[in-house]
Amino acid sequence: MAEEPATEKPYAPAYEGEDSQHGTLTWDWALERLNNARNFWLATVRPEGRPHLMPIWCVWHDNALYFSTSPDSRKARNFTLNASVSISTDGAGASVIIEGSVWIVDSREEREVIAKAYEAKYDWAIEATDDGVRFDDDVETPLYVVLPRLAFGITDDEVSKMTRWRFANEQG
Amino acid sequence: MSNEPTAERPYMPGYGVPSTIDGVVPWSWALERLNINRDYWLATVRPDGRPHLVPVWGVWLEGEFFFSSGAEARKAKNLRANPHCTLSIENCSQPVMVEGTARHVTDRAELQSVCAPYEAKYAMAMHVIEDGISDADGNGGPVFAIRPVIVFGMPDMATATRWRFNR
Repeated sequence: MAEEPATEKPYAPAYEGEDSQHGTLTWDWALERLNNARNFWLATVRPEGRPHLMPIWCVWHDNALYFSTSPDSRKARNFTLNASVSISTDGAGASVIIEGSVWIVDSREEREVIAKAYEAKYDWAIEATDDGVRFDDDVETPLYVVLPRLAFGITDDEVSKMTRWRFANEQG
Repeated sequence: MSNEPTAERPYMPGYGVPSTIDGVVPWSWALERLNINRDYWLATVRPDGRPHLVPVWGVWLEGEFFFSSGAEARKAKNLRANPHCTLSIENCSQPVMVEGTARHVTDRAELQSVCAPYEAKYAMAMHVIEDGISDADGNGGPVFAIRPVIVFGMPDMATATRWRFNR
């Protein structure tokens, strides 16, 4: 099992009211969303400093978020130059937002594990190759991973419980 | 909005988006979704270059998206330093993404014009304060208006459309 990140209260004055002792969401609450969300929003920054948003499919595994995309796509060209990203589970009413850095998955063994998890989650055949992953429509791409530095949990039902988790992750 | 934007095809290699203009959707398709959506995602850029992503509520008026923020909230700090931002509706399956610039709304009449549509949409009474708008509990702050520059809409890959505003 992956180690739990440290729980903190974020700076969010508008959600706190006068009393900051509202408690926090549990890491299990966040894990349930990270594991079960089908769609994610990926925010990257263009070279000229403008943010870019695009939906993407992801697999959460061992405290990291894996995805594939064409290296020529706007998002990939952005995070190749600036590896910092924000990525959230969909459904803004209750969501987990991850802040971290994107890396290429170099390990074939790791790619094979993620390919199996991806196929199980999305029912779409994918296999590890020498350099990346290949989908059943014969498109081959790198496999990327977001290593988290911080995660935020926010839910409309209990906004005052907005929570921040900090990962002991030097590459995040 | 007085001027309709120009429809184009987005550049999305490997996703099966046609290269011809036939089959794009009209701007009204995007505008309707931007109007009725409840929870939006707002991406801004921190001074150190990292993106920041947070849910926001807001209303479309006269072709701009109006939302309020805590004065010291991360998004407000980011927008004061770099007004470039991207806003999306919450539907990832048929998404609409708005890339634009945010301006700080200071005109009292303009701030007042935001309150009634906001209350109608979210059933939350708002009033104008010294620098922005606030609810009855005192939660509020400055108001920003996002003016679209480029908008992406994707009913599906075959109809994916990019709109460019020529101003």
